[in-house]
Order: sequence, then structure tokens, then C-alpha cells
Amino acid sequence: MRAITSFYNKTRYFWRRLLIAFLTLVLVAVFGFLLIKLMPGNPVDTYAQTLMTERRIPFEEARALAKQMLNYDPDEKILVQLGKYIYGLLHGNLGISMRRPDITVNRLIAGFLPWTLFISSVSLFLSFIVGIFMGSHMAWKRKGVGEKAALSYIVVSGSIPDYLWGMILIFVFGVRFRIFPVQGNYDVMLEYEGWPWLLNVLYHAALPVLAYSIVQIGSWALSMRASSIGVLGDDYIYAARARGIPERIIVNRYLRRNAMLPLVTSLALSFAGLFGGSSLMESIFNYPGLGQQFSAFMGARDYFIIQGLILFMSFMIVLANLVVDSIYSLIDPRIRRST
Amino acid sequence: MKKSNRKRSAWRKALGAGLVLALLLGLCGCGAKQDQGDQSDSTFRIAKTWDKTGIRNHYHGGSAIGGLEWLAVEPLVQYVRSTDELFYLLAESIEHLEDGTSLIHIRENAKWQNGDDFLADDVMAYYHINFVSVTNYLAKPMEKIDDKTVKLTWKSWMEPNDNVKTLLLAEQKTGSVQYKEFQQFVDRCQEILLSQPDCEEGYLGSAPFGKLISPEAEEEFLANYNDFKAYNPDWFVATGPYKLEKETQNQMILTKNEDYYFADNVKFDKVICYNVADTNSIYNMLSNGEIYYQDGMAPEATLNAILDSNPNMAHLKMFDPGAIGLVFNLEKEIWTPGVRQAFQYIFNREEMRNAGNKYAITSQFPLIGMAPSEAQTWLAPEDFDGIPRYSQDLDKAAQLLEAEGWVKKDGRWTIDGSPVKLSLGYDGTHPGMCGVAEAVESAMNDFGIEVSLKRANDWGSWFDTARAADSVYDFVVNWTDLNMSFSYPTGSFQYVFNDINGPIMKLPKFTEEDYAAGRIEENQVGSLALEYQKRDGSGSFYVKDVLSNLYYYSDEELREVLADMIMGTANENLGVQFYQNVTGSFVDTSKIGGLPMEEYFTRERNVTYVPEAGTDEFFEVARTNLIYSQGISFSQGFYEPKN
Amino acid sequence: MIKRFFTSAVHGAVRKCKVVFSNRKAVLGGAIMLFFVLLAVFGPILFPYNPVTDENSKYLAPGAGHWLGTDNLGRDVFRQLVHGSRDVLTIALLTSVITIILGTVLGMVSGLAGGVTDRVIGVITNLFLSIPSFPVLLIFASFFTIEDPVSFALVLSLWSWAGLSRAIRAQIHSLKERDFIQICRVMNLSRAHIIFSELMPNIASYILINFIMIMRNAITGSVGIMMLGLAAFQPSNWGAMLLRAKDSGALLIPEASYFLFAPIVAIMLFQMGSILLAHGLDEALNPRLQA
Repeated sequence: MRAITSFYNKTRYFWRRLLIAFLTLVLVAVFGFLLIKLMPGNPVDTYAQTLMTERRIPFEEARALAKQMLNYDPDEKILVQLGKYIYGLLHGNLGISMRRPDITVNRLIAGFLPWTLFISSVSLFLSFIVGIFMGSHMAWKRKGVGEKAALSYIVVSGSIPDYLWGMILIFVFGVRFRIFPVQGNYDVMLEYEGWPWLLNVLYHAALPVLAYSIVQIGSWALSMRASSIGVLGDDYIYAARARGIPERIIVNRYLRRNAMLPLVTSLALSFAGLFGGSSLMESIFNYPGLGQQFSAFMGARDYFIIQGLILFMSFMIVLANLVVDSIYSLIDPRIRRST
Repeated sequence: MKKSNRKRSAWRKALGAGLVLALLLGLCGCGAKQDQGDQSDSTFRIAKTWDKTGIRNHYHGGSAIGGLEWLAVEPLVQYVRSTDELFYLLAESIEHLEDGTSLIHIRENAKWQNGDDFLADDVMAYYHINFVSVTNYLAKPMEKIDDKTVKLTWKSWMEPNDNVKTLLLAEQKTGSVQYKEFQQFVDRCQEILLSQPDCEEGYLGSAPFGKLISPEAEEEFLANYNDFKAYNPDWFVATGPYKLEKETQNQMILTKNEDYYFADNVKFDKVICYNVADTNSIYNMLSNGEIYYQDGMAPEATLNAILDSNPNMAHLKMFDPGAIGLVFNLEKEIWTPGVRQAFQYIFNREEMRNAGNKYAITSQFPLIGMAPSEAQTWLAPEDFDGIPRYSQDLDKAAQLLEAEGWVKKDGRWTIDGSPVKLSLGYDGTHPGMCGVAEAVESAMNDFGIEVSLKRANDWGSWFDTARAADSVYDFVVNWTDLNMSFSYPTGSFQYVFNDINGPIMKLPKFTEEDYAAGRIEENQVGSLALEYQKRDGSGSFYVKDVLSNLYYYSDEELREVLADMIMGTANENLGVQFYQNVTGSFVDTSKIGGLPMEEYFTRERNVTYVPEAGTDEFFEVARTNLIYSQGISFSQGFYEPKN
Repeated sequence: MIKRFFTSAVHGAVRKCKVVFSNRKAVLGGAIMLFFVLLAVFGPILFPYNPVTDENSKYLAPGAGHWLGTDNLGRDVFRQLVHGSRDVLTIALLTSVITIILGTVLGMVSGLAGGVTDRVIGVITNLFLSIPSFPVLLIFASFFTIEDPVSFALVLSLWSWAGLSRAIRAQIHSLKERDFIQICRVMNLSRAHIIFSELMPNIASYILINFIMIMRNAITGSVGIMMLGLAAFQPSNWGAMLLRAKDSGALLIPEASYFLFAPIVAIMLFQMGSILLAHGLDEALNPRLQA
């Protein structure tokens, strides 16, 4: 018994975070549900209208059938509907397409998330690494030519949204010079041939990754610079300098490593944010990701799918927050006490 | 010294990393390029979209199916849109007999792609499970004469003319329901159908195969149809010249069907489809030669830029049986008849056309129910000349608006003291309509009416918003008149009055009260309540009556009725036509042989000549357009690889 | 009390202004921003825009008549930019104001009040931070079309206040533990005094920098919303210009490059101005960076 209490006391912070995370998710689910409910025109009427024109039957009849087919009754009490929705969620059913019952949110995630994660995580890590080096260099060599150049780059790259970079890259490398493909994820002819296929996938990913990275590098570099400047003011850097340790070692071993820590948190959170994909980028490169699908289903007003996808994205964000907080609390005991 | 060294090393590192990256990507590039070069020349590449979530293995599975639509699923006989040229495919011929029956003779060597023969049962399976519009004209279920012959019996009181009979059958992609594969659903359907009572002679309501379907049966049909829709065979059920080999989210490979009855005609071994919806991506792919064909138009400057960057590309033009302009949402109080008429005078239609499609033909009509080119075909010349024509006349417009109580204050039009503000909805994916919408906005602002543009992101959300009750759109840019099917006036009238523009305009409908007052039959509640005066002043008629009788008129009657319909519609000023559209096709002349208009495109690759209706070129260009001909170019061998 | 707050604030501001003016980045950024503000206020009067289309003058090269050439429908690109700047700037400004007010007030209340209020605000903030903004914007767009700058700004700020609020709460929390606040508490000074004289000056620069950065994000956001067609389409809005250029295939057309790049450069300049100003302010006002 005492063991349990002491275990609880030690992990109390974690349990509280877990509870908050769970509450947030429930709120997100309810909020998403209500948002969809409030949307003008309900799914059944929309679907009934399609059925009516397709099958040439009177509207009322079509509506009854649509209700039956969609397993959804708009005349039901909202609370009952909400209950059913939550019940479905608890059984792992994130949502089924209204038009094609063989398409579920789970299937969409399985089919499209890998591609979204592929390009967005590659660019996230690429820009993180480049940004770390750039930022620490900027902090170390303040007021140098390098800093000015880097800062100009950051300003220019950051002032054009990533999807515009995408368009420009497509135009320059895809259409003018024809070095890179303008759309797609790989050439289907290569699907059975290991290496060439893998290379082809990378080849197709090059422009989207570049477009994402151009913008992201800047913001990582800025955060790193700020964090580094903070670290530079710490005593141990002065001490290291005083001891005559070579600058290179100071930068690599002391500065970069210490300044990076707070950024790792944002890296984890940014990673969680990737799960939704980017509708604009994926559309511009015609990349088969979750973001593009989201806007496609939005266009088809397939509400159940939309609801499910939003919940999934939120789930990833909440989960990442939980993990980051928990790890932090393990590393830094002060946090456990403060909240 | 030390310092600069370090600086240099940092730069060197960055440079090195950059170089490695470039090398890697370059390598990938070379690798991929080589592989593309290896492919044989008899591969055709097109852009056509399908469900990225994966297709269902049959035509009725509820998914978009990309290139299969054109190249795998076939009708008995194919008509070419806008020219109505017929090509017999699965049917060797269709015989219309004097006694009100027709015989479909199936091609002897027609086969399914799994090797089974295409049989009479398969034709019957298609019509019996789908209840397409033609079944409503049949008096009884289809009969099998032998394995390759099917007999149809038309309702004597609803017998379309022979031309329409063939065209009604030609509409249907009959080679999509194999009886053997879908037997359980077809049999179930047949069972329900046969349990229903026959309709009486002369019954005009819906009675497919002469059966009166009860609401309960309707529900059973639907349940059965849903099972049918959800069924996923292990091969793509089709008969056409190409088979589905492989499908990914972005690409689809179709290979030639060696057992095809016209296999000798089919010259390309493979067709690769790209799942690209974004017009910009398509322009890019045309510019760098990734696809060999694309139907439709691009804005003038874009079109020329594409041809400039790809020296093999040519663009052929042809009539589009549709007109683009404004359609009013009559639900809004603002659209009184006078205001509607005033709007005919506000615009410089030439300029509107230029903003939409430089190559199109300016129209001076209001919305009349069909495209000018079709009106010209179907009306007597003097009737066609009698259609009211409008051109820009701002004074006249102002006069008409003032008569409706509008007042112009400080350069802005007002009603009851408050400035008029209209919102204009349009589909942002249609480049022509975007141009028109902006031109309309600026023209109207100039005239003193504030317009806010509502650019919808896709056709679906545009249409959903436009047809919704209390729509935010006061008026829309759309096809005022469009014929999606064969060139018979029904196609256009359906579009205008029932399917698309009807719901957008919120045309008046008959209500329960009309029935209670004895004006209509019970089953007509909810049908169109539009009433027009006859031209000769001999009374009036309901549009719905004309629409339901169009197939039965003799040629003489048809001309007369159409003239009444078109004049009536024109007088209502339901919308403004800006231009008769012209469409076309991009073709890669280095990859595709057998193209028409060669003497034109060898001189100037942007062929601006639009072939006149009835000329050889009119037919030939329409055949090369895959949307219009649905792949006839492949099965008839009009397209061939160029060496 | 209020008077004292103001005099001290003015003194502080004057002192800080001197620091700011000695920072070149801040001055340059400020100048760019000022230029855009002037452009938005006086531009449309000096360069009236006539949106009437003219086929004969489409894609003209820049010249005396048209400083930046013409667009796909023959309209002056420069005047469109000027005309659109008013809306773009209003949206950005309003978004910043609304976001800052929402974020600061909620963050401060949450940080100061603690207890149940803190928890409730915390949960709401969490909710907004956990739902991805973009999909929700897409859904909102089906509710209503964004008509005027105010509703545009509201939609944009709806999903941007949460991060700020949380950051401010954290700042307040750490300030609360500092000695000078504790002393105020011991001295039994009023809550208003603590907020306005002690806390505000300490987070003012942070808020100011955020204000500028939110403006910057609002521009990107509004361009994105325009490009997705979620707002009433104002053809001279920079985002709309970009979308129109993209849709008419301007990337492919050599003559159209001015039409395409004019809005890009305008957006870029504005963003540069805001980034420089924010940085400059950060450097000038953040004591830690002055080392």
C-alpha cells in the first residue's frame, strides 16, 4: 500500500497531465462534433439530394433512405447523437465516409499519412539541423558578415509563405530547367525495383522538401540564436573561455549542446503538428498526403471524415504535449512542484 | 589567422553538405530520367483524376475511375458529343422495327476482359439493375432472343423517334455489369421488379419496364443497389480496349486488351494516367511534355506560353455546346423582371468574352435554354432571328432600373436609400469563369453597383452553396446553357430547368396548394411551375409539359415548340449569355499520329480556326477530344504512335 | 496613481525610444512599416484605381502609364497593389490588436488570479492549442464568407491568441515570484498598481514585439485564406492578386512576371519590415541581448 502511495506521489505530476490531456481530447471531440452540427445544411439532406437526383425518387423518401444508409438521424436529440459518436470513438471508429462506406478515417490515415510524414518530417529534421548550426554560428559571431548574410536570408525566406516557394521552385526546376518532376510521389513503372524506386521517391520529394525547408530553416535559426545568446551569458562559457579552451570546442560542446535543449521541445511539438499535413503544399505538388485529402473531403462535404481527421490531428498534438511534459518533469524536478 | 580558419571551415562544411545533397538529388534525377527514356514509344500519357483512396473494381462502385472511364468501360454504341456521330461498339447494330420494338445485335466477338463472352444477359443485367432513363420508355422487361440478341419493347404511348432511341441507348456504358459476376444482385433486382404490377396503357409517370414500383419495392431496390455498389470484384469489370494493370494514388497504368474485338485498331500498348486535378500542374506537365494530351482551353497567354515552351504541342479548337454568362437567383427580391432586363444592357459582352475566353464567340442573347449554336440548328431561321438581342446601353439600363425604384446617389445605385450590394458566386477552378467574374465585378462597380465576389474553391462547394435555400449568392457566373449529353434539346433544357440552373435560379415549383386548388395532379407537386405564353398568342403552356414530351414530337412540332420555349425563356431574362464557349484539345504532335487539321497546325500550332458545324473537320476534331468521344480515338485507331 | 503610472511610463518610453532609435535594424524596419502605412492611408487617394478590364492592354510591360505593367485583364498592377494595401494592412493591424487584447487579458487574468479561473482558462487555451487551425478555418469558411476586414481579423485571431496567452501567463508567473512584486505585496499596494506600474512595463516590450510578429503572421494567414478562396474575393487584395496570377498560369507566361512578382515583393517587403523592426526592438529592449 505504501509502495503504491509513494509511486503515486512520485508520478502524481504525470497522472495529472494525463487527466488534463484526456479532458482536452474529450473537449476537442465535443467541440468538433458541435462545430459540424452547427454547419449550415446537414449531411443527410445533402446526401438525400444526391440520392434524389441519382435515383429520381421524391425527397422525403430519399431522406429516409439516407438516414438509414448513413446511420445518422438529424432529428435525434443532440445528446443522444453525441453519445453515439463518443461510443463509436471508444471502439476505435474515427468515422466512415458518407458516400463510400469502404472508406474510413483509419484507412485514410494508413494510406496517406506515411507520405505526409515522409516529406514533412524529412524537411523538419533537415531544417532543424541546418537551423541549429546557423543559429549558433550567428550567436557566436554576432555583428559579423556571416550574421548579416544569415539574417538577410532569414528575412527574405521567411517573408514568402512556403507554398509560394513551392510554386516558384516548380517553375524554375520543373518547367524551366526540367531537372525535377513537377508533381507526384514516384513513377509507378519503378515500383517493383528496389533501389531505383527509392531514388525515385527521393527525387520526387526533393522539391517539396526544399520548399518546406527554405522557410523553416529561418525560424529554427532564429530560435537557436536567441537560445544561444542566453547560454553565452552563462558563467560556464566565461569559465571555459577563461580556461583557454579552443573556440571550436566551446561552440560544439558547450554552446550548441546546451542551447539546443529548449529547442528539442519545440521540435517534438512541431513534429506533432505535421500529422495534419499541409493542404496547400500537397495540392501544389500533387503529393498524396493527408492535407490534400482533408481539403478533398471538405470539398465533398464528407463531414464524418472531416470530424475524424481533426480529432486525429488534435490527438497527436495532445499526445506530443503529454510526452514532452512528462519527459521534462523527469529531467527537471522543479516543474513537478510548480504546477 | 585562427579565426579566419575556423570561419572557412564552417563555410566549407556548409558547402560540402550542399554539394553532397545536390549530388545525391542529381543522381536520383539521372536515374529516374534514364528509366523514363527506356519506355517504348507506344505509351500514351494523359491526366485524368480518380479517387486517391483507391477505386472500386466496377463502374458503379461510387468511385471516380480515371482513364478507365474512357478506355475500359464501353457503351453499346458511342455517340460523339456535339457532333452526334455514332460508333457501334459492343452492339454490331441496333434495329428499330415498325412494331415498336428494337433489336440489339451484340458483336459476335465482343468479350469481357476476363475472357468471357459478352452476352445478351449482360446487356439486360445492366439495364435491369440501373433503371436508367431509357427504361422508363420500355413497356416491359427486356427479352433475350438468343445469346447475342436482345429485344426491347417501347411503350406505344411514349415511343421516342428512332434517332432518340439509339441515342438513349448510346448514353449508357453498358459494358460494365457482367451478369455472371453480379448475378446475385441482378437476380434480386429482377425478382423485385417482376413482383410489381404493370402500369396502365397511357400512364405517363415513372414506370420503368412498364412496372409501377411501390415505395417499399423502391426501398428494396435501393438496399440491393447499395450491396451491388459495395461489392468489389477481383478484376475491373469492363470490355474496352485497355485493361487496368496497376493503380497507385497518383498513377494508373492501362495496358492494351489483346482480346479486344477491334484489337487491330488499338495502336498504343500502354496508357499512363496521372491523377492531377490542379490546372496549373496540368499546364506545367503540358509544357514539359509529361502528358501528350489534354482537353479544354487555357487562357490565351497561358496557351501561347505552353506552346512556346513545348515545340511539339499544338492546340485544336472546336465548338462547346454551351454558353457562359450570369444566372440570377430569383429567390432574392431584388430580381424583379425590370431589373433582370436592365442587366442585359449593363455589360459590354465583347469585353466579358475576352476576360473569359478570347477564342469564344460573343452572344447577345439572354439565357435562352440552349447554346446559340444549338439554337441555330434546331430553330427555323426566322425564329432564330426573332430571339431578342442586347448590347451595352447604360442609359437604357439606368432607365429600367429607375422604373423599378432604384435611385443613383453619388454614383452608387440605391434601393430605399440603402446602396445595392450583390454577391456573385463562381467556381474558382474554371479559369474562364474566374475571368468573367472579375470583369463583371469591375463593370458593375463602374456602373455603380457594388459586387462582392464569392470565389468557391471547387465546383461541389460552389453548387452546394448556390442551390441552398437562402444562398449567399445573389447571382452566379455559370454555364447559362449547356448540353452535357447528345445534341438533342432535352440535354440542354434538363441542365437549365432541372439539374443545375433550375436549383440555382430557384424556379417556382407547384405546391400542395396548387393541388388543393385543382390546378395540377397530385404527382406533379414539386414540379416546375414555369408558364410561358405561346408566340401566336393562342394561350399558354407549362414548361414541364414540354420537357416531358420532347422525345415524341415530330420534326415539325418540335421546331414550333422549341421556338415557343426559347422565346418564352428569353422573355423571362433568367440570366445573361456572354459567349458561346469554344473548347479544344492540346495534342503532342511528336507523339500522336493521325491527327486532323495537319495543314493548320504545321503552319501555326495554336490553331485559331474553329471548324464550322457539319464540315469534315468538325467531326474529326471532336473525335480527337477524349471527353467528347470517350476514347473512340483509341478503339477506332484514330490515334497512333508517331515514329 | 494612474497619473504616476503615466509619467513613469512616459519617462520609460522616452528612454527606450532613444535606445530603439540607435538600433539600425529597428529604424530600417520602422521606416518600411511607416512607408506601408502611408501608402495605405494616402496611396488610394494619390493613385486612384480603375478596375475596368481592357483586353487591348493586358500584360503590358512597365512604363510611364503603368509603373508595374498590367494584369491578365489589362488593369494597372501598381494601382491594384496600392488599392489593396489598405485592406491588407487593416486586416493585419486589427488581427494584432484583437489577438494581443485577448491573449494579454486572458494570460494576465490567468496568471494573477490562479485557482479555478486559471484552470478554466488553461483548459480553454489548451483546447485552442490542440486543434489545428487550418482545418478549422476551412470549416468556418462554410459557415460564412468573410466579408469585411473586421470579421477577417476575428477569424485570424481566433486561433492565434492561445499561444500568446500561455506565454504571458508564464511570464506573469515568473514575475510574481520576483522580489519587487513580493515587496509590493508586503507593502499592501493595490492590485491595479501592481498590474500597471510593475507588471506591464516588464512585459510591454514582449507584447510590442509580439504585436509586430502577429501582424506579420496575419499577412501570411490572410494571403493563405485568400488563396484558398475562403473570403469574399477582393481582386486587389495581395493574396487575391497572387491567386489570380497563379490561376491564369502566370508562372509560365514571361510577360506576366510583373503581375506575379509585384504582390510577392510587396508581401516580402512588408514582412521584412516587420521582422527587422521586431528584431531591432528585441535587441534594444531585451536587457539580456545587450550584453
